[in-house]
Amino acid sequence: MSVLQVQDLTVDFAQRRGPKFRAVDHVSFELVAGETLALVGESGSGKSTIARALARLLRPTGGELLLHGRPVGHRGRKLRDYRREVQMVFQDPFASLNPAYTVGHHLRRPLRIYGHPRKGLEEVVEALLTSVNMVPATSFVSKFPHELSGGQRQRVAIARALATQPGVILADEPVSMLDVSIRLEILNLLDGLKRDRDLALLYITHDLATARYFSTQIMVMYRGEIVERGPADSVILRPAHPYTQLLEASVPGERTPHRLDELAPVRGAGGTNVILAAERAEATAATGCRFRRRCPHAMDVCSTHPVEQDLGDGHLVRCWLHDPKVREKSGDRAAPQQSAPSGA
Amino acid sequence: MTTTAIAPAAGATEPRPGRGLSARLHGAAGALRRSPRMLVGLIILLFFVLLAVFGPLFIHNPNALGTEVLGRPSAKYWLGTTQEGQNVLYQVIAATGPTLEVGFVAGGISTVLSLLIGVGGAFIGGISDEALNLFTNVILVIPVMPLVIVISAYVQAKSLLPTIIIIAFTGWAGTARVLRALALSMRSRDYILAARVSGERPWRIVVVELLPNMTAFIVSGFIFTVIFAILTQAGLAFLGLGNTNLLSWGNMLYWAQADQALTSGAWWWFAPPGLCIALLGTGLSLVNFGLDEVLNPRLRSVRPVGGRTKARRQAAGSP
Amino acid sequence: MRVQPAAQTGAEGRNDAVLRASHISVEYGGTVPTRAVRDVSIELHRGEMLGIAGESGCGKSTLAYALTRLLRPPAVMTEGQVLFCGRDGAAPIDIMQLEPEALRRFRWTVVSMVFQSAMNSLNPVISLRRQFSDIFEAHVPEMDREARDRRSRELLEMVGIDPSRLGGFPHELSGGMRQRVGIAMALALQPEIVIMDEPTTALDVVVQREILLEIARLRRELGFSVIFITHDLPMLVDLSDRLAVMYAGEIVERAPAEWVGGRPAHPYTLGLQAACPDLLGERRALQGIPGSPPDLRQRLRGCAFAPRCQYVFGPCADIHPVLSPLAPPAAAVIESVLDRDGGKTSKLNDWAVACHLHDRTANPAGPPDELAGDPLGTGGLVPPAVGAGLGVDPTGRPARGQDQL
Repeated sequence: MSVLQVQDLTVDFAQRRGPKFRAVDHVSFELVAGETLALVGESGSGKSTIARALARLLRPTGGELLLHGRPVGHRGRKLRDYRREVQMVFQDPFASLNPAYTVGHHLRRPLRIYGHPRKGLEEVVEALLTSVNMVPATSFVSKFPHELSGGQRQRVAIARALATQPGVILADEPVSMLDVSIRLEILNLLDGLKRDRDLALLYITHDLATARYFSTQIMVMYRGEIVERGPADSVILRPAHPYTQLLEASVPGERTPHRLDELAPVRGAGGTNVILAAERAEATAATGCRFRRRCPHAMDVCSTHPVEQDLGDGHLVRCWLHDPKVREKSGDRAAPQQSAPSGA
Repeated sequence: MTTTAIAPAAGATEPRPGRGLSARLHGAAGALRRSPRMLVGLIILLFFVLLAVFGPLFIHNPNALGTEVLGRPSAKYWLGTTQEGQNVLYQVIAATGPTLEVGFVAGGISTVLSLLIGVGGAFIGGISDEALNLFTNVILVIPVMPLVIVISAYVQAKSLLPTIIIIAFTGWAGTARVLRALALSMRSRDYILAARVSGERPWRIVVVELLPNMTAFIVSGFIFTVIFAILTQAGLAFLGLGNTNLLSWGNMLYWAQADQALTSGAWWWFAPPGLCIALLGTGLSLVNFGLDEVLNPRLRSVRPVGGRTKARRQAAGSP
Repeated sequence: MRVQPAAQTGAEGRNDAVLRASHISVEYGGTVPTRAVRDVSIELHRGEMLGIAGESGCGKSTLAYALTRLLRPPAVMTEGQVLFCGRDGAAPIDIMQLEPEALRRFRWTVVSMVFQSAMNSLNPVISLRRQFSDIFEAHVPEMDREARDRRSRELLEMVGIDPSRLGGFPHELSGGMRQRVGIAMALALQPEIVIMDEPTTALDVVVQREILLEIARLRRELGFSVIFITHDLPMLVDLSDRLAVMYAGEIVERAPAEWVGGRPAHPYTLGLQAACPDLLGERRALQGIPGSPPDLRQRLRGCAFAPRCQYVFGPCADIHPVLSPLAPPAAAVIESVLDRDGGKTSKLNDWAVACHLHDRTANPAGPPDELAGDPLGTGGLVPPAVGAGLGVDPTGRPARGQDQL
């Protein structure tokens, strides 16, 4: 059941010189209760901007948000109702808690804001801590953030997000600043909470592996656009967009069927200099596929904006290579087939 | 699902500025131990406060005229006498109170102004913020002393209050700028954003979430303004502005200079008040530096760990 | 996909140590001192890339700073010796004993460093040309301006940046490019050793890959040795010749990289591996390592990892495990492999682990299969009963080094 629908979300940022920078370009998706949607992309792809837009921390330039099928309000009571339903977990566990206040304060505030009476407050706070496995809860309530480890702080952040009993949680790279050995614990925690409370979870990350294992659906973003989306295993095991393939080939230690030199970025006479300039131009260019300067399979048609192609099973890709008409014309020349997984 | 460790985190990091009150009190004792500078500064400050409060109990009328004119320091007059035979020591002691009063009250008012204009502007944003910022910059650019002199010349000062007000309303600009910049940078910190996402109202975000994390800067700004106030008041008094009959160190300097103390070599008249001003200023500055040291562990003076000479040599060896 | 096959610079090359650190201990002063590095001994062989893996607080960066005498108060090296053995075969130099002037000359010409935020270690208000120039002026004063310029351009080109950007400023470059500049600067004086402290952590995975390829290429061309510090174990398995895993200030496992990739010997290494799920593997239950690292202000009894280890048994709580070469049966397997390989049993000593499971006297039964060490990773071992939660692939992993670029 769809909880939050995002339609044609667009976010522009004013630049000091030149045209506006379009960070998010007409992105649409929906968050379903009990399911995790992973949003994968590199820095600059716009994924964090989407999180902030959904958290109403910035005002989108265009598009619409529908919560439980109804358009969301902009101020006052309606905004507060929205905030109650949609909560966020931030990336940096060291920055998302106020160093001047205890854990208890962080959990009490959201409860009080939404009208929980003082009576019974402590019990609810302790219940929240227990639900994120910080036990015994009483020993943590009066602790300050600097007395906790990164993993514990993130648990507090998650508990805070749960305080208002939301239907949606936006997790913006919740584990990328944590040690490797505790990442899985936190992700397992989020997963469990999602199942127990039937939450709709948006998991933003640059880590493909955890995106695959923890989510139902994956969306791959590049420069403000969703270039590929679909069921997690399908996108990861059979990546269709050259950018997704490049991402997979770049992960250390992975044995993917794609050779890195095939996917290596084009080096012009100026080295990567050319890439940088091209990327900057891409960001503000309105036409064509954003990835074409780096794509080893770029064709003439790529200078027009690609349309989303349906590969079946809910797997969609925004790439001319998968357009049947284009494939016909070029005779399947260099089309990267959706690759089968390597080995077992 | 695994459970996390029950004990709180091992290896907790250094405490950051702006901890809660109880923790801060605990930390205060440790802080004094860690920063000799702050300790010295506080001692100096304490000395002058005690002097201001209890000193007058031990002295007689400091303005009483006497027979011994420009007398050198002696057993009877520890710091000698003025042109009118007044006891310099008594005067210095009696002047402590008013000086501190001007300093701290003006400093206080000034800091409040800085907060309202600096932090308030940062949070309101938009045109109002731009306007306030412009106003702040203008005030900052205007040379303070001439401005204060001009205003003082027009104001009949019967008490210290006009002086306090004038100083307060001319000295807030520097701190306001700093606080504004700080507030702007903190506004986009994750915990502030988190407070917004939680649904906190803006005023609560400023007062409850933001200000406690700025205490270090606010205190520092306050101390700086106090120094400024004391020095400005001394300067004003030295120039003969304000009520010259009110006893303050600056006034003493004025009278000393007016009565040819310099030329007649009566150092005991102008040296003590001058030294007091300098000493108080130094004490306040040391507290400020000490505050920095305490809050930023990297600035602390190094004391090598343990007694091993090898360690010391190695520590010395790494530049 | 391995970035490079295990570098074989010849049997003599491999055993020739260029840096020998023994019994290094570092403490951070404070009301209660924190022992960040505890009695660590490590050797860097000529021409090799040594990886040091570990999570935050394990002491890997502190160790790197200690090796180059870059420790700042309150960090102090309380014991240890670092010997540098130059290419020319001269007597080893004790780095800790160098006089300030000799140390200054030693720095950057013999040992240089690429810092974690190389993008932040570039001075933002000085042009790149000036920053390169500063290096040359400090160490090669006889170089004139033209020569400096020429060399600076060469360096930029070497790391794949358009030399015409020499006159520009750091903020004009992207993060990846700034990191490349950091690397170029580290290589400016052709040092014999380069220490890289998490050089790619802050970069996107695609840019990271480019940088790593660059480093590998430069290493092949110029032949310097590298100590590469990171928390990313799979990256090190891919990239380095040998690697050492640090935990709570100590080295808990040290082995040729490809072998650790196959089947590690220490439970912590195993846990780290399991915590990095295979992108294309089968779906399985994922689990991290429960608990958190110990407080380094305390004296640690026994094994530092014991509270979090699922194989903990008798001696672990009280007796501190010493880093020792792998004992049979693991050693036996390696020996048989090496015999097939045609010798080089010296490799055997390269695999050391600090764990009682491998101590024949403490644990006569030998370590569980998943920790038995398996250089070729050809499996043939029974699927693990214990440690199933750590999700080791029961069919074993195919040998690395077969998928080349």
